[in-house]
Amino acid sequence: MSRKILYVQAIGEAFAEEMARDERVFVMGIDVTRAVFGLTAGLVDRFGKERVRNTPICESGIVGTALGAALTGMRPCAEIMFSDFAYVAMDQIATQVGSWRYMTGGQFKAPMVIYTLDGGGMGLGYNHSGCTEAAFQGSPGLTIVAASDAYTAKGLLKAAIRSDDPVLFFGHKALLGQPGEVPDEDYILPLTKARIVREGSDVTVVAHHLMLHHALGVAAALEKEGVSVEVIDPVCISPLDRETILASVRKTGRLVTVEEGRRTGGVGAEISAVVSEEAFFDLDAPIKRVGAPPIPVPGSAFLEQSCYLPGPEDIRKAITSIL
Amino acid sequence: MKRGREELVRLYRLMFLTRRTEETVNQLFQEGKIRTMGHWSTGQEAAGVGVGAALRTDDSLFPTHRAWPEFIGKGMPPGSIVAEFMGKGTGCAKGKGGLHISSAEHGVVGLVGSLGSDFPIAVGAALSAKMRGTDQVSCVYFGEGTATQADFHPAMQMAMLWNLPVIFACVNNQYVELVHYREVISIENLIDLAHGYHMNAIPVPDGNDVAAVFDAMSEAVARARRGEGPSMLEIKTYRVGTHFTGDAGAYMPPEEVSAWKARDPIARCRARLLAERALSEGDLLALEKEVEAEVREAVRFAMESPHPSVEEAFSDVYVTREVVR
Amino acid sequence: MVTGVYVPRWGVTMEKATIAAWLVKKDEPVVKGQDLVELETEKIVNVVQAPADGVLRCILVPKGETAPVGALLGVISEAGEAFDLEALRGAETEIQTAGLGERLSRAGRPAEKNQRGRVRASPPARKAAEEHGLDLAALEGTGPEGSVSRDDVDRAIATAVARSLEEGDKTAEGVLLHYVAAGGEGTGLKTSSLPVVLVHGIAGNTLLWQANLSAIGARHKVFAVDLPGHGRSGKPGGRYSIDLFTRSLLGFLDACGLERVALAGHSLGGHVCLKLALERPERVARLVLIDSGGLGPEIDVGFLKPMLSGFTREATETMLRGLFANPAMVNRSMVDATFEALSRPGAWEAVRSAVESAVPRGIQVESLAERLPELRVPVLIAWGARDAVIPLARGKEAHSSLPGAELWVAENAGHCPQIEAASDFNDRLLKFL
Repeated sequence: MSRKILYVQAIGEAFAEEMARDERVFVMGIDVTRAVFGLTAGLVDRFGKERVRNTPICESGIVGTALGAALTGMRPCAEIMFSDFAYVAMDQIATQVGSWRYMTGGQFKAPMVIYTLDGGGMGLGYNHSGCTEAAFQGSPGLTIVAASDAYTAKGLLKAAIRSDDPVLFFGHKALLGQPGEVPDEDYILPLTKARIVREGSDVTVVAHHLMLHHALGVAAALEKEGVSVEVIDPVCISPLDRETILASVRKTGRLVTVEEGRRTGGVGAEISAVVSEEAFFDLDAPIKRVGAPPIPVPGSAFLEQSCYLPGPEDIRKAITSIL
Repeated sequence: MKRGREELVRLYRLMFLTRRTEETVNQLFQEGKIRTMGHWSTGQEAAGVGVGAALRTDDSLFPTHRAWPEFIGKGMPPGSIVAEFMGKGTGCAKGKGGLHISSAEHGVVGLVGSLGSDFPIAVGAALSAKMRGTDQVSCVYFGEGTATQADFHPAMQMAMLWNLPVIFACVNNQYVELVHYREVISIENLIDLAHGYHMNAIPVPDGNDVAAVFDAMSEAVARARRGEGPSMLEIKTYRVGTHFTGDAGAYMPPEEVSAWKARDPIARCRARLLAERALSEGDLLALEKEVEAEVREAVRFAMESPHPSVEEAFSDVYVTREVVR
Repeated sequence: MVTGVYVPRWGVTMEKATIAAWLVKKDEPVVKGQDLVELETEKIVNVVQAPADGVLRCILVPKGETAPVGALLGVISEAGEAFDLEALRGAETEIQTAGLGERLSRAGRPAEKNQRGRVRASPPARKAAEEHGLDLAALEGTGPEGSVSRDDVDRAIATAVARSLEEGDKTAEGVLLHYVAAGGEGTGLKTSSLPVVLVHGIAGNTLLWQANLSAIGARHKVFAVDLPGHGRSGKPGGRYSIDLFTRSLLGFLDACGLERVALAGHSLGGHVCLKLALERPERVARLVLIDSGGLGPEIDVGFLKPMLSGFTREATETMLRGLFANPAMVNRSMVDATFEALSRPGAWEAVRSAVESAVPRGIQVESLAERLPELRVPVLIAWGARDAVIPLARGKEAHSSLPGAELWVAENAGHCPQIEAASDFNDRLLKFL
């Protein structure tokens, strides 16, 4: 059986269930007892202030402390409120968290989760609207996942907390209020497996977060025009589920990648490179990437919507340009 | 000295072992037989040994790159250190850390290259100990130049905020890489930083006196274990050698260097052992000879050890899966 | 840049070669394509051409000695440039086995298909195949993952054209006219409906067009005809005038059943084609004039002088060198073929007669320059900038007097840009057609 809950509730349930299951799991971050975005709402009442721990403002300090705790027997979940601020903790995330196990020759492990929210569209401007998962793609030792609905949010976060490896969990602000079905029973999802959300045969579209939902809308509209679009949620940004994506491209011969983050060096850039290396002769057309332009997120909500954020029209144009 | 002669002899041995190991490895480096950067601790062995030896094996230590006295003080065998330093498969980290030496067995959690990133990591280890209800402590050992790094501040904050069993052991050897520390640091005594956080401050003005260092560190450790919170130490010493092998040290005035050489921690400890009749000259020579044999064996072991297998390069990245190349 | 000169493999069974002669001395400059060293095998004597421009820095195997296939014979580089003999020698085994094994393992392998049944082919290959009407599935795929590469398509085109090569004779005005043809339906490729006829100049023959037939044949049925008195055509004797040539050309078109063609003429042949285009405009759909005569009085037939003092192979070589900006273009096979052709009975007399007829007293007697505006067909004027026989100015003037005409100049070519800049010429010609 299943229930319908909101994306933000799915995340909250994941924390609550895993904290109940394993006393080594704890949450730390700025205002986690107050849950600014609601992710950790109610947890402190249930688990207390030791395990739902407010921290001073310092992303690198938060991540570093979480790492230290993870290396020595705990299973921390460190919050970075806006994914833009992940860059403040760049050294910790990109170098220390992912490399510690290797650097110690396997003597230590870092079973921790860093969770954060992407997303613009609220007129919050250049430093509160970003999507930063692409920046960590090349960092070794990390598993980067993006949850695009309530079902994957809960399943992936639970899996991330249970994983003995460090996981970066990216949610999206615009999806917080989105309802979705989640199973009643305890479930986790594989961290590195993409899912085919809509089957099709003419073109493959890989999209995550809000863009996944835009892509599904475009696919439905195009179906009426006789174009069959296969839509894939990559789920894991790094390492990519190459098998699923390649199998789809071999079937359709066309690929469009979609992300809210910037195109340059983005998630689509890596997907394009992999597909062109491994399925060049299966492509009937160039690969197209949809993403934001190389500008800061404009403070003006009008500009943000009209010039910055990719939308259904951009996805449709990209698809039709290669048919 | 609180623990008596045995303790002092132990500390002397550890310092002597450190120096001989570094000298022997440095010789190999000068001869081009090994390839990496060496950051020798010549002249400041008392600081590292005094700190490392005051910790238990199950305490967490986050050392500097000039850390051989710390490793050896904490109980790591020299062979494991040297083999790892040379990137051999028999090293403590299977050759994958190189100069970033670690040992789970001895509580050396790891060595951070971007100096200062380990401040909060050490705090996290202390937080972990507290949450798990043990009396383990955590120590981050750092040079005065690292105290300016970004994460020093939140680490000190969180240590005090949560009353954590973490010790910030600052060794002030007066040189920040290639410049004198007063060129890049605005205060004379780094211990003043502790006052800003209301943290227990323990200055150690004579950091070349291994007993003084050991006592100061032991005090901090005991406090932490009792749940009385964090401490900061400033251990004043001098780096007689250069920043790294390959650095000519022209920026260090020779009079300064020779003045400090005269206060060599090992020579002083040796003299004290003799003066207090803890050991005779004959005992000392025997001890030293034994240490030298241990060093030779350690270096031989390391030199003869094989490189890690190629497959090793791709393992230990994850626990849960293999690397996709 | 350092380039090694290695003993090539001229046949599957070849194992070694003996140095018959070094044609260039140590420290002498060489040009890519220049005859470098003569090698003798069990089966043939042939010449290895310089693989790059530069200076011949060393000769490692002297005349009379033998070396195996793949052996390093010499080194070409810039003067004074350092080179590593060991490194160059290191490539010997690779060269010895190169091409052979790899080609043998890939040869005959049909193109692979992807999951959706489409032949694996690179986009350029796909495009080229489509343009030429080739079925990708029928092609050999030697690219990565068994794909059809551009090279595979080009090879298939060349093979198809080569298969269509024919030689024959037609009779016109009672004279036997020898011709070589290629392209057309015999190739199985997509072919234009416009046939092309190539006409050589004084002392020339069909062999002049060797570098062009295959390229043109890929898209058009193309004929290269020997004018009377030249090549293997009949030598009736008497006066070899422009008129005679023009009538013969027309007769050739009739005999082949070619109603309307693109005519491309070189030097005197250009004059002939121009004349025909003016007299019989309904027979000419396109006109290409290559360093053409008949556009004005200037001409320098000095290149023929060596032949006048004594008709020898050496004289032939000297004559040929005068036709090119880069004398190294004149290689042994060109000299041999030309000398052989001109040695045939009546050939040299024909040349002399043609010269006397068209260029008595050193200037061209007939100029059709003023009649150019009568032309109603697209015209391409092609010229070598360093033409020492008929100056570029003639071509430029002709171009400016013909609105809509196209001009193509090969900067580094002499009188024969269709040979000296063959690749660019072919591209330009095909585009024009």
